[in-house]
Amino acid sequence: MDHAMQRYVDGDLAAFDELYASLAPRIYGYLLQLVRDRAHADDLLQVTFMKLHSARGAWARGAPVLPWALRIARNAAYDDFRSRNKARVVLTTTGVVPDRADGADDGEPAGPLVDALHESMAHLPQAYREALTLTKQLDLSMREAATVAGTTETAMKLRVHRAYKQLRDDLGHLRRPQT
Amino acid sequence: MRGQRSLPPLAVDPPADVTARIRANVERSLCPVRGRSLLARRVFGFGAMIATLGVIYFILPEAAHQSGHARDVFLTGVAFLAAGSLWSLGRTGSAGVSIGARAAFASAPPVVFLLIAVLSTTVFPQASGVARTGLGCFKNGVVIALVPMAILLFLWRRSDPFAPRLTGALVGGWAGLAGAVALAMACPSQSALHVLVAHGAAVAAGALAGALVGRRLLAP
Repeated sequence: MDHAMQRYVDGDLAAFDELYASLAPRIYGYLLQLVRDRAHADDLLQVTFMKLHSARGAWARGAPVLPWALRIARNAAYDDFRSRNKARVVLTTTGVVPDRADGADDGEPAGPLVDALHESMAHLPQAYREALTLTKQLDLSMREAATVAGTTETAMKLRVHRAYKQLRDDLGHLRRPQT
Repeated sequence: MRGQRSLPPLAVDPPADVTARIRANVERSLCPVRGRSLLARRVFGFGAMIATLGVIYFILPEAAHQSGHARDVFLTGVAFLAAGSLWSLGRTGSAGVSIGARAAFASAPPVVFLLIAVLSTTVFPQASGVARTGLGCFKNGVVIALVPMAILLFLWRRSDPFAPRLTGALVGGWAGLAGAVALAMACPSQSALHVLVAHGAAVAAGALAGALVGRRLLAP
């Protein structure tokens, strides 16, 4: 990905395609987790890539691309929140999550455990859910995740720990009985 | 912790029409971009501050040069600007340096420099002329700092999505220190309080201004 970014900065369109194929699904998933609305995430994805495109000359060669791009996406999302002056859409009164970022809507099989997991994640505080998303779903290191979220590595570890604890409490009733 | 993934991976393909629009926009405006490396930004930024100091140094009246005070302040300022600005600027998001550590380290040289300036007021001979008011020194320091600050902001524009306010504060703080050093070369006042307040205020004002514009100018 980093090599593709370098070639993209040098003006190679094929490198952009390669970079997009690698970055876009992860950024889009991350944005869906943040805004929980597909149309909104579509807009933000375009904003993110336009910002990334205009700032590509400022990217420090050799720096990891994914945290950089995720942070641009995060800034775009939060700027948008502020400009709209409204809170993130969380849940309806019926408890149905408007959009799911796991691809289950696209034909992936989803069992009751996965459904319960997503519902439970939707109830997590935003900071905890973001911590899980960055470290456990986007596979960033703790340090990279902390950089993206604008916090310290220790705080990120704490958030992940507390998110897991909350998930365990929520999903405890689904645990298989010990034999 | 990397690789210990235990939740479903998060990868959702964006809609095809969104992908097509993004690609079309990129294709329309894609061209090679030269870009500046981190090292180049640091060197150019440092050079801009030193050049500003150099200009002030050479236009000082002859009386200011005779005592050697201006030369001493100039060299001390160059050393502090080199040590601090070359190290601290542009390191946000890089491995191993937390934002807090960077802020702490970056704020140390201006503090130490001001401390030395305060202590040296009893050592350096007083230049000719009547001591200016603190407000005058502050205004001159801010005006001198504008030039390196503009250059530094230009060099770092859209480069830091991680902590643009902090980077802005650092850029402004270093530019303010360059202004404070330039002032210290010519300031006839020997009052420690004057140095701390008037010259220190130039550093603080630069840092504040940088923090205010950082989010808009330095984040992509």
